[in-house]
Amino acid sequence: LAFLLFSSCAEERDKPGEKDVTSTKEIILGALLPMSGDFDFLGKDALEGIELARKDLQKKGGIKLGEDNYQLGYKLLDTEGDPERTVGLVQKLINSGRAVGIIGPIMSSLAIPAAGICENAGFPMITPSATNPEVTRGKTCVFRGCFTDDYQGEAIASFLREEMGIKTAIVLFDVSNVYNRYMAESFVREFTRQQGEVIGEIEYLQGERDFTAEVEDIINQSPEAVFLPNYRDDINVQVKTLREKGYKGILVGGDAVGASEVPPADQPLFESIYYCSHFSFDTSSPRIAEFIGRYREEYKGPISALTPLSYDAVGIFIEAIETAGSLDQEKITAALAVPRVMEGLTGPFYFNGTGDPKKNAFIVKITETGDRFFRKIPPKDFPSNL
Amino acid sequence: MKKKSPFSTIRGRLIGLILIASALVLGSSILFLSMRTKRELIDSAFQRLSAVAEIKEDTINRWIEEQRREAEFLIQRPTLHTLAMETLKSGHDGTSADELKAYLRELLIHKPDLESILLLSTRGGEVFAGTEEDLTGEFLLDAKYYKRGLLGLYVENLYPSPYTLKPAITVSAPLRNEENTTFAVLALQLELAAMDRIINERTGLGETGKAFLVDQFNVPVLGRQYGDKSFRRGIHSPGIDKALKGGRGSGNYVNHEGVKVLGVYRWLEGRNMALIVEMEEREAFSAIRSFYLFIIALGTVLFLLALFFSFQIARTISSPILNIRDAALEVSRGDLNVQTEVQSQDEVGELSKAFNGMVDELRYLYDTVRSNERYFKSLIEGAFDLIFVLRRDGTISYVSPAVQTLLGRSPGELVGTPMNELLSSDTERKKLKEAVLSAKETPGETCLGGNLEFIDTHKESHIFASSLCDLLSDPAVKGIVINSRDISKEEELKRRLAQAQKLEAVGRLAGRIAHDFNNLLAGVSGYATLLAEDDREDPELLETAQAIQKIVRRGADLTKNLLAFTKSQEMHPRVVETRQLLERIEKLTGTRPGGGGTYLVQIRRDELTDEFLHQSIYIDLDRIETALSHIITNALEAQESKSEEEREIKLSLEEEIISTNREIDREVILPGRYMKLTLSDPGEGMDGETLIRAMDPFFTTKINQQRLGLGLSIAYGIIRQAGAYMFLDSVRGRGTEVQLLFPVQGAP
Repeated sequence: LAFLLFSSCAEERDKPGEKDVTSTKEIILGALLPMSGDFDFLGKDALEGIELARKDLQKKGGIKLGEDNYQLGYKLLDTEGDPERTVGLVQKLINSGRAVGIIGPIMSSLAIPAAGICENAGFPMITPSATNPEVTRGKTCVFRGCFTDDYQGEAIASFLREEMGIKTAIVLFDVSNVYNRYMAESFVREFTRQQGEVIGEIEYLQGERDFTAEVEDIINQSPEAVFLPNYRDDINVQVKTLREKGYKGILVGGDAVGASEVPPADQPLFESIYYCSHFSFDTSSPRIAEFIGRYREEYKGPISALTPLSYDAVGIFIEAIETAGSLDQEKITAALAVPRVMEGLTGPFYFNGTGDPKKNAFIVKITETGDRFFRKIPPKDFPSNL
Repeated sequence: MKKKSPFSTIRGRLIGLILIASALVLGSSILFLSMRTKRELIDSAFQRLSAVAEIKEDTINRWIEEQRREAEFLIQRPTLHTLAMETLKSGHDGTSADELKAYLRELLIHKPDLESILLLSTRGGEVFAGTEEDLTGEFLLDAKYYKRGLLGLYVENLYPSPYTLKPAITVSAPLRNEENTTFAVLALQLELAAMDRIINERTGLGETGKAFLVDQFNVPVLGRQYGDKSFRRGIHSPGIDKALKGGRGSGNYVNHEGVKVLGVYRWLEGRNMALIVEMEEREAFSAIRSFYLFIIALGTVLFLLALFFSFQIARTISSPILNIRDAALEVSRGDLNVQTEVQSQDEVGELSKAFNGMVDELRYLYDTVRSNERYFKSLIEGAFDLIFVLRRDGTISYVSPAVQTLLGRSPGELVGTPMNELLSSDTERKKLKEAVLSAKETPGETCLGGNLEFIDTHKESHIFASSLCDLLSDPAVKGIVINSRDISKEEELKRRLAQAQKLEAVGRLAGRIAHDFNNLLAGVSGYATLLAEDDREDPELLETAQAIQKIVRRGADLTKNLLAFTKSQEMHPRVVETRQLLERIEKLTGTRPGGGGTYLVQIRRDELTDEFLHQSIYIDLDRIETALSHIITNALEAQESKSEEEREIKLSLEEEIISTNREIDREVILPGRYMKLTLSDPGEGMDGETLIRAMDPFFTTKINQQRLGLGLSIAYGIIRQAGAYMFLDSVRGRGTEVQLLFPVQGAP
């Protein structure tokens, strides 16, 4: 079976796929995104960000390395959300020798094994959104364009405790997924540390579609807030069930929520849901407003944080190549590790020599008219000038 | 001299060609042989590697099959069942969990082919027990071996493990309770190092052989190579890449370690991996080295043989040709008697025959030409005619050898000189020029050129009747041919004939007058005698009569002489001996015919042999005496300027034998024995003109002395009438010599 997968993948590579954008002299990045399977919507959002970044670079005239001018190209590799497949794809990409680096994977469960492979091969990788600390731990070649789950848990806990004055909370999470599980752990740790009380940790397994039992359990315990560190498809069902069952408390999600395509009928149920976001949706910032406007123009639907994250991830890579002045991966890796501050759509990045930049977290409120900036939560040790 | 290239000779070229041909044949055979041998070596190496690959593939399949059976066996273990069910009930931390873990660890120790053993719950594939601490508590609900293991015994062939990040093979099997419901999945992670060991057994791999497995992502199955800096991007080689595309085959290529190898590669379809069996080319080809040495040695021997044979062949082929060449060179040097040996019946043999025939023909032609040339040359050169060939400018390009005889000039010296120089005067030159011009009007035709006068080395002129022919345009001649015949003698004969006729007429007239005058004298003499007898007493009358008689006697003498000259006086020859002639000559000694003066006759009689003195001569002694007296008188008269005592005539008598026709003063003397009488005087001599006319009748140099000028001509007449010869030779101021040649009549 694996071989069949491989061969279909090889076919993809051999055929000039519609989504492969290449030009004569180009820098190829592997884009490892879930373009099919349960998380295909994440793949779509991320790809839009990469594509926008590519186009912007093209407008700028590409990257100048010595005498040569390069355009950016990428090789889209569909992870299908499958770790085995992802490992294979990464290996294949690395061993094919065609790509300079990897953008992705966007989910921690895939990013962790992919990071391991990249690290072994000395192959630079930037994940736009994999927040699990394990992704970069002990690695020199792996970077991310987002904060970590540790910080996210802390941010959400402090938002609930400090902003909303919540004392009790329940966590409902997919125990089989490393992201959800780690987010839950992180939140519990932080919320408890901030004198909140986690009165329940309800686990479920990936693929579960009926949360009636879990929701009844929650309603019985009547927490002030429910933390849902899950992916959007799950959250959609969970929110709906909770609201329909009459839960009135605060619902908070993790960064995986983004860009809900809520069915119009269910729209009212989704009022007043918060989540922790990498992207501020703060339209008071002209740059963000312009980006959102441009996104709408190009892709119509609501924008997800994953799009500007992916855009920024590409930006980080391009900047590193320019700094390195070469396509040599060791030099690029070294350039990525240089402590620096970088401005991006998702806020200032404070790189401090590790793979994890320090960044602001944003609490976003889902409203009728889309996701709205609610609060910015800067890291405590964030340089005061940022 | 330019140095000759060895290929400029037939033999050199032949040897060169044969050597090149044999080198080509030899080289291509060696190349073919060595390529074939190499191919065979490669083929046999590939066969060996393929056989090894076959075995290895089989080994891998059997090994995995064994592990599958192991899983099948393990899921039947009641202990495992009990412990697993209890652990699932009591959770991770219960005692049964520890027991289960210990049990699994114990199992692992005895199964070196396993890397780890996991037990996954049916709830999200949670690892609830296992030998891997890190994985315990993980949900492996995405893992294929979990999903498939729920359903039955499953082997997940080589796949990249997201946990170990290494290629892995996992065998999974469901644990089922009494109701046959799956409550857990047993997952055995196979120890691939063990598999690697098995396939790396050196059987059949020779010294440098290697067998290894590569997953579909170019990652070597055995982790020991992975992570190594040099292989962090996977291992690549043409063999690996072809195998990963599902290929199955063999080839020689540079492997991932940069070593030239012979490799057999195949994609193990069911196992999701590639099996590569390689051996270093160096080892595979080690056998070919000794083969090359053998081939080189053999090649050298064969080449030397080819060299030897090429010399032989070249010699065989070229020697008849070279023989012909040598013969041809001989022929070109003029030797037409050369013949080549016909050594064979082939084309060269035919060439030899043709050459010989050609030389024969050439010789025949040459001989014919030469004899013709000799023939015509002898015609020209033997002729008394002068044949000239004149160039356009009038110089002589050829003159026949007769010029030597006729003009005393050698042909060699004349070639290149103008012909005009040979002509006596400008008049003659003008004649020649006109003749040439007229000949040019009719080229190729012979025309008469009239008489031309040439002069010889003695400035004497000769008259030549000439004809001319313009052959300037004839390439063989390129000249004007002049043919000149000496007609001087004819002219002389004509002159003499006229002289003779003149003499004859004069003689006849003189004879008749003399005869009549003699008759008159007889009458006068008779009357004078009568007068003298009658008037004997009258002294005066007697004296007169005697004077008359004296004058008559002189007149009679005169008539006698005249009659002798005119042959009217009969000649009465008879055979006499030389002695008798000598006696008559001696009679003349001391007396002068007609009286007066003395002279010396010196003849050394003692020098003459008896034999000579008795030679027979057929002459009229009396007439000869008359002739001699005329000659002596003439000789004495030539010395008139001297005193009588000083005057002398030398006489000598000797034998002369003439063997061939001899021409003296244009008279031809027939061969035979002659008695030669020479009379010489030291007188005033004669010049050429006088000498020529000396014997003409009535020619005299003493006209005022009332001489008749008949002396020498009478002598000449008598001598010639007697069948003898008379020659005069004289140089002015030195004297005159008269030679008389009397033919001797047979042997005594």
